[in-house]
Amino acid sequence: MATTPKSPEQVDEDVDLASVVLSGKDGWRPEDLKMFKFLREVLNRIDIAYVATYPPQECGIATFTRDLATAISKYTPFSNPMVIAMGGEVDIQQYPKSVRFQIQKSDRQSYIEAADLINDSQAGAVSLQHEYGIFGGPDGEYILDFLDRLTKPVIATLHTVLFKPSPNQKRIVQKIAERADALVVMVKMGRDMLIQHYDVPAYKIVMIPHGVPNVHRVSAGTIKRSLGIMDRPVISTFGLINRGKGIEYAIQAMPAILEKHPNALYLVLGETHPGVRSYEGESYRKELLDLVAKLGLEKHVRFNNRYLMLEELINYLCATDVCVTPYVNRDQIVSGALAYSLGCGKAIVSTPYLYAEEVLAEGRGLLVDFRSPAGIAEGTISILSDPVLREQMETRAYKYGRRAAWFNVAIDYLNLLHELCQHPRTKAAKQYCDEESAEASQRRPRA
Amino acid sequence: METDLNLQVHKLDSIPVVKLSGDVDEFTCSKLREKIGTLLDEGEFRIVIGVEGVNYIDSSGLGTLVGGLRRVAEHDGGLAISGANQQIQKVLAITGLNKIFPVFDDDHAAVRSLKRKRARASGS
Repeated sequence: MATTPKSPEQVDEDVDLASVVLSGKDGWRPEDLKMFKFLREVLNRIDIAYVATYPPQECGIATFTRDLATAISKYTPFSNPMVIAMGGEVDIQQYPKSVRFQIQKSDRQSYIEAADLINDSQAGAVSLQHEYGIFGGPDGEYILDFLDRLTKPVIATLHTVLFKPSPNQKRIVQKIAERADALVVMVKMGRDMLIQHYDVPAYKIVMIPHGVPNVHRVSAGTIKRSLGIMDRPVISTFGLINRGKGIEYAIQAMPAILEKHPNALYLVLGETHPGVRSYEGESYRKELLDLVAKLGLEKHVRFNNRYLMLEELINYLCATDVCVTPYVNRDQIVSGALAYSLGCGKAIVSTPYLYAEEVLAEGRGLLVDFRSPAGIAEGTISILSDPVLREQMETRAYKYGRRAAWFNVAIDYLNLLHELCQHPRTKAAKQYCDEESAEASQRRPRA
Repeated sequence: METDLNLQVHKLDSIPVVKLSGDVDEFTCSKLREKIGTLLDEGEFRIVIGVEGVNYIDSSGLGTLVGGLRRVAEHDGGLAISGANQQIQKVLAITGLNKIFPVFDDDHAAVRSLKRKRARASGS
């Protein structure tokens, strides 16, 4: 059994809570307005300022931020979220309206201005997505200027927690931990590392899994037919391409896989990471193409060299028999690609980087050595040759991934945000919340 | 793991109880909306939604419940929820919908509440 989202016409696009409350399929009739007003009064509201990269910027954190903001907004019809986007190759005009300001990565004053804008806004809390590379200065330290200036409660989601950070990298995470009211990590290992190697107090760390799309399980056959790959065992790796993906090792595994499954097809889905393209162009992809040619695998390895939209990506995942994440960096603490594969309930072969080691435990996937074409081949063959093993693995992966569906992850974040707004853990946020509380009581009409 | 939504309706003390099992999400909520519509067409304006067998509910599921509440409210009816697990209770509390939907431990309590509401409305 494989998985796929149902076709768009099978999905009720206009029935989520926000749509029903704010417009509804039939709109609100005058006699219903009393109920509308009641809903406006009782439904919880929280205005969140997201600070991160944001689409159309092409990067995993941008996608993550958009998906998180979208999922949360579906539960909070009367909230007014805003985004402070980290500048990249995208002009401010290209962003959606929710993006109110763009921080210029290398301009320190820009970080101060962003903090002032949030301080003066209705935002009740800040959701900061942290990855060293998206901010300016050595190891992205300019983000500390932003945090020093900010007066509102902060949740910082850490997309990287290095096992062996440099002194400056460690200092930055410690400073973020001091100023943030909570740090979110996506695996337990991240929590352990923050406590042991960064001296972050445990009470500040919260584990919330990486969100995945809501996908229901259906047969893979239909999807394969629509993609023109019917009757072929499909192996795939997806995401923005860079050398850390280790795709060359999966390609080198293909001759052994083809001995057992002569019709197998390996799909490499995604374009080169824009950040990588800026300094080395398409040289990695060209090396991979040369390797395919050298091994005579042209009919068995296919590249889809573009940024895939979610629906298309899910379709490819649904058509996949074995997902492979042959990454070479042991320290990798999160992988959106692996999270999505779990969410789709796929059988997975992976190297044991930190995130994979944790989420693929208990039979949810097969771990193989780093840089090991033989290991990848052996793992992939064992899954393709054993339908029972495969079904067990898919079911376990799907059950695990289901808990991480965006609609559940959004509730986890909302829960944390509400808690922090009521009980902030930092001095700056406490002061802000006390002032807000005093103002609110002054606004409240006296009995 | 069951993600499709199954619905079974039975009457408890003349009140229809819609027992749900599976997930109530963007793919499945139309089934619930249609079921509520059918009950309304049959003149049932007090309905219990039994969610004991529900694993997860997303914003589409919540939207469907609010839509259902609007429709029964037009007839001075009511919609109560029974058997919510911790996750669903958390979702209702986080959104504030727990202030709109009465949530009961079991179907009997939910039915009694709807009957009392009716009795109050008719002044008996």
